[in-house]
Amino acid sequence: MVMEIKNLSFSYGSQSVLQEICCTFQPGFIYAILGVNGAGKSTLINLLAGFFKPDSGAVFLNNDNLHKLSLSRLAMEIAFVPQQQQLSDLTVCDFLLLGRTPYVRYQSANADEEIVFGILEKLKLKSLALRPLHKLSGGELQKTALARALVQQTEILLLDEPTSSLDMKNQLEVMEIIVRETVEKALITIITMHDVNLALRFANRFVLMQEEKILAFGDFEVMSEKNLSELYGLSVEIHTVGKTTLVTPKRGI
Amino acid sequence: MQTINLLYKNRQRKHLFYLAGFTLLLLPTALCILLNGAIDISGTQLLESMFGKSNDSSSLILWQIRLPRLVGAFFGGVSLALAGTVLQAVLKNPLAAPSTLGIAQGAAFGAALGITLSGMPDLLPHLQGLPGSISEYAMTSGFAFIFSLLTTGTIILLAHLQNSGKESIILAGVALSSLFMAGTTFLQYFADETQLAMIVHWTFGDLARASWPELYLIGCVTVVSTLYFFSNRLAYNALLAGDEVAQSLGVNVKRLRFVSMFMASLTTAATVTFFGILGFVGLIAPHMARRLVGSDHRYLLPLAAVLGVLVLLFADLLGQALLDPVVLPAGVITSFLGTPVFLLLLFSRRRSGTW
Repeated sequence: MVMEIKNLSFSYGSQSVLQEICCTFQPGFIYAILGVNGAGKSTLINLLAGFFKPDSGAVFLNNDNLHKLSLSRLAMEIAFVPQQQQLSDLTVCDFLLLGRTPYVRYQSANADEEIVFGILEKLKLKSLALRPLHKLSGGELQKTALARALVQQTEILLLDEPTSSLDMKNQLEVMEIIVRETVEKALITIITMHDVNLALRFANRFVLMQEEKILAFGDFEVMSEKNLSELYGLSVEIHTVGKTTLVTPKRGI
Repeated sequence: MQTINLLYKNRQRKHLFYLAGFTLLLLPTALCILLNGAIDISGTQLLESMFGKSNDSSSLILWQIRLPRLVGAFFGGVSLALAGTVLQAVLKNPLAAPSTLGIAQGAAFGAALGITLSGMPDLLPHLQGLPGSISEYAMTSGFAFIFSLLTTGTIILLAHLQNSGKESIILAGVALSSLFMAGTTFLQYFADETQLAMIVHWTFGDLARASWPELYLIGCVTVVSTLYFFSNRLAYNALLAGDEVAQSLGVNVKRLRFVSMFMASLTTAATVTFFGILGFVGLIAPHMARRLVGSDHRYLLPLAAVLGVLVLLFADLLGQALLDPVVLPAGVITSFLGTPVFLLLLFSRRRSGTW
């Protein structure tokens, strides 16, 4: 599976949000979409999920136009995790079972439940299996949401700011799960992110978005001081501490 | 691994147990409805009448009064409870129900309009060929039906126009309710004594009002909508995770919301048209069910339906017993029950943030 964006433009009414976007996503990589607020990160991920239709251009899955596929077919190809999870009194088990919705004809089968239990085990969420969603902590909730997307067994994973409301430990745990699954299942994982350092640590491809366009797209080479300074509109420095690369703003307070 | 599986199955078994238990409770309650009333019918008389071995008055009472009442309670309970459950799911608001969205009040206004207009035959000359009672009846029911659908149309339009903030839909329902109540009051002010009595009497939801032909109609509408609701139970579950997630799971959210609201209002309209206002059944039954099995629609829908029937049957029995020999219509009882439930929902913050 290859996901390809060709000359994609989109606007909210008369306000243009994305212009002539082009890029290609390959399996087995984690793509971090970076940019300042309002650069069009969320719009892009919503377009990739099929929620919005582009004004011109298209998104292709192999050779199929994504926006011409049926919703149920799309649900078997692309899983999406929003930034904010909607709470309910569904238990974690039943919530994960939602991930099987595209495959269920009439009644979910034992096989579907086995998949759910398998993911629970793998993500160490077993102890939460029968807890209602509204009684989970922020970290548990985000992991559960991710688990629901994995239960969907798609080749493409779209995550909108999956770690933005988490503490350091939970950020790492969530990102580690994402990396492991991406490598193991050869997923195309696309994540919008605010935290450049987290992106540098876990992602291996970067989409830098600025003013409706892609400023740069590629591997670690695009994460240069020059590009990042331009992206965030302030000069930054890149340090290497051991194996970790860190980006810090130059202007201190 | 094995243990979660077991725990999960146990939980499902508990839900099925509730469902089976309340369904079994229907039997003795139904029997009470058949045996109780102005004239005593014994068990043997009941059996003889049921299987056509008797042709006396008890058979007549059973087939023309008690059985229609029971069947009416069944369809009315199922349709109102499911309409409430589904409206709550698609509007994401625990207070959504046929009576809180103004659908019932719209029907009441329509009925009042029908009653008033049929008192003025000069206005509608083409109806003069029909016998008075039939045209009056047709107008009352017809207008009630049209106005309940109109109310829903307005609600659907508002829901469509305003994509976010579904809380305000309930407020819109409150506004529509008071508009229609004002309209009904206006008509009552100008109605003569007979009409006034008819209008007031119409609003008392009464299970005894419908006879077989109407029950067939209500039955058909209830069956169609129930099939639709049950076939979408997983989609309603997906909606609990939010519109975007539901769509990414393959649910056509806009169509689901539109068709569900249409179906819910259609069954409500049919029920309200022929029984009058059975207030709050669509609110009480879903919330009792929610307390027992949570928001999983695989269990919530059937349990709410069963509880809806039970609430109506109990209301009917209570109405007969409370001020014996005066028989109170079931609608009066359900409205009394509904108010505390409504207030409880408003003021007790449920454990979750959303429900």
